[in-house]
Amino acid sequence: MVQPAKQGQMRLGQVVGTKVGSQVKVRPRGGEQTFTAEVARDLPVANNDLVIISLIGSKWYVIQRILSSAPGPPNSNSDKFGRSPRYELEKGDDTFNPVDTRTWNGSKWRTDTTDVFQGTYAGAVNVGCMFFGDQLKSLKGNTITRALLLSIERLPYSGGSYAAATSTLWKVTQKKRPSGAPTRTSSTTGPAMAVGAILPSFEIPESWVTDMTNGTVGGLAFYDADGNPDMRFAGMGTYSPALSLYVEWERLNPI
Amino acid sequence: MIEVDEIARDAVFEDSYKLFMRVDSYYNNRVLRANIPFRTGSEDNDAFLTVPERAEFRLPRYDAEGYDWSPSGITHPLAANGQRLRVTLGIGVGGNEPAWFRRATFRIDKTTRDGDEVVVECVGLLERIFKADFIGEFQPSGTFVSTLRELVAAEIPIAFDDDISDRNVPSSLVFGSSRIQALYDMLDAWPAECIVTPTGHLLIRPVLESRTAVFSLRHGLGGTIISSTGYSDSEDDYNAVIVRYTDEATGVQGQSPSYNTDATHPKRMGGPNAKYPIPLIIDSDMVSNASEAYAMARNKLRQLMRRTADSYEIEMLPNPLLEIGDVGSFTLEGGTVVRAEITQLTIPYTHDGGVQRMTVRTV
Repeated sequence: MVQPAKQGQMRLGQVVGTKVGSQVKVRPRGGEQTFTAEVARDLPVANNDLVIISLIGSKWYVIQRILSSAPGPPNSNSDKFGRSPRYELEKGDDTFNPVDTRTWNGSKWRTDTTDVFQGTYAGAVNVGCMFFGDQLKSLKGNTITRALLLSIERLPYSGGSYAAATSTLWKVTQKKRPSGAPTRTSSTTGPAMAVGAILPSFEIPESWVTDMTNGTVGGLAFYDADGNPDMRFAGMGTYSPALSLYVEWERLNPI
Repeated sequence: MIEVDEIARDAVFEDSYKLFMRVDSYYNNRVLRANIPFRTGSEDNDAFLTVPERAEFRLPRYDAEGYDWSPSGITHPLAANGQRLRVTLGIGVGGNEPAWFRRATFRIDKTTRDGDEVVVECVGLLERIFKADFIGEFQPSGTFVSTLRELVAAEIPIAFDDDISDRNVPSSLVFGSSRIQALYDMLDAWPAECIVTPTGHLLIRPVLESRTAVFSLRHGLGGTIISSTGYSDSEDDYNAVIVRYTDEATGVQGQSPSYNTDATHPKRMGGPNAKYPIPLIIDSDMVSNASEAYAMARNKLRQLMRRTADSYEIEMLPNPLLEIGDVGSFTLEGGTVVRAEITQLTIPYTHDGGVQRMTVRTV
């Protein structure tokens, strides 16, 4: 294994390519990674030249070249483990818990429960919301390759039917519970569930999560304009991981 | 400070409330077990440590259903193989549904047996970055944002405040062995600071110049402060920061100093504490002109001024809404009122966890 250089320490290195301006790429001996280094003035360097390099501050400097001529390129099998892996295409996944799950019952936010409701309440139509705060900002600029809503459990709703019913999912603009009604923008077909059913995951459009990473969408909601069907889903007070968002992403690193 | 309903907030600051704790174990971003029946839990935070957060949870080895909570197997909810604990707390007022909020995310560091109990010791998420040193040197390319993403995002999701402006990293920059040092060096140079949010994200934000109090706590009638003690030392009492740089475009070298001349600061230069500058000198290749170097020097000085300000150690009734970095107005023993920032915090997650302790420093 190659030990990272210490300040001011001299090392041997090999030039890779040709000088551009005052800089050239060098490969410290034993390593596979190349670094852009500052070259001593008036020092001509050519591809494969062996050079003495030194780390001063946070930069490599090429001090002098040695040997009468450039040797061949390094043995490619000499050290496969000398560098920190850098990935041009990086892939990852994250699970985001909602910071709040609440229902707007048409005139106010319900404070007696954190479960989320779809359907009617005293003549008004519920909007059952989950807000994700600023968390999704962490994926800004990434390509979203998969998005799932996790841990969806349908609970009994007094007066509602127990049979399977299909919910409707909406994008909500606000990142946290506003004082007034939430702003819904567009919808898609939500999970279809009977009372008592627990759905481990439900696929939602990747573009919705992209909107969340850009900050134009802050949450999701169960809502059906005609007030049917009546459905109740476990919120964070009933089951703390409920209605979480699982996201798989990709990002291109500039290498 | 963590935001909750006004009723819950008022109860925490001025009245009584019931505290509920839910802890869920995650592995590979999936829930292993929700609502682990921990008997006690507490969190320890120190803003000046490399990895600021620690936590400890305890529970009986066997629960009512006979489940064995001593870690057996790779994916046991309390094993230390990448398992993360996410903590949700609830504030109950009267008979209402508690106001639930996300409090913290930790990584399990060690799970041991203590008599009939299982003890789970946890650390903050930055611990992974702390251990993940570079194998060879690391040369960034691109911008501060893309470089910081590359340094940490695979382990901790990283988010950037909207008010922060990105710029290119100087070419031919090389980081030595420590990944977390690279993170902190870049933040110093940018300048910016980072916090780990309750939901387990690394948030990068600008260092604020002046800060207003967002809450008030007091000692005495109706107050929640039990005792307050002054604390004073002159460790690391730098009153000047000098940043030396080389201009990337012209090669011109220079230095940008920033001096603590704040007439209200006890460790200012020229004041009773020190007549001469006590400099911290930083040689940085991450800044490449005078204005960037000055921004870095000022930022570093502000951080040092926070460290060396007057400090008080406070014992109070548990207040789980407070976070490191919060600024509040404190009425201390004897009636002194100070505006101060929380720099150290120990919060019990359960009622029998005793008092809450914190260190605050005047701002």
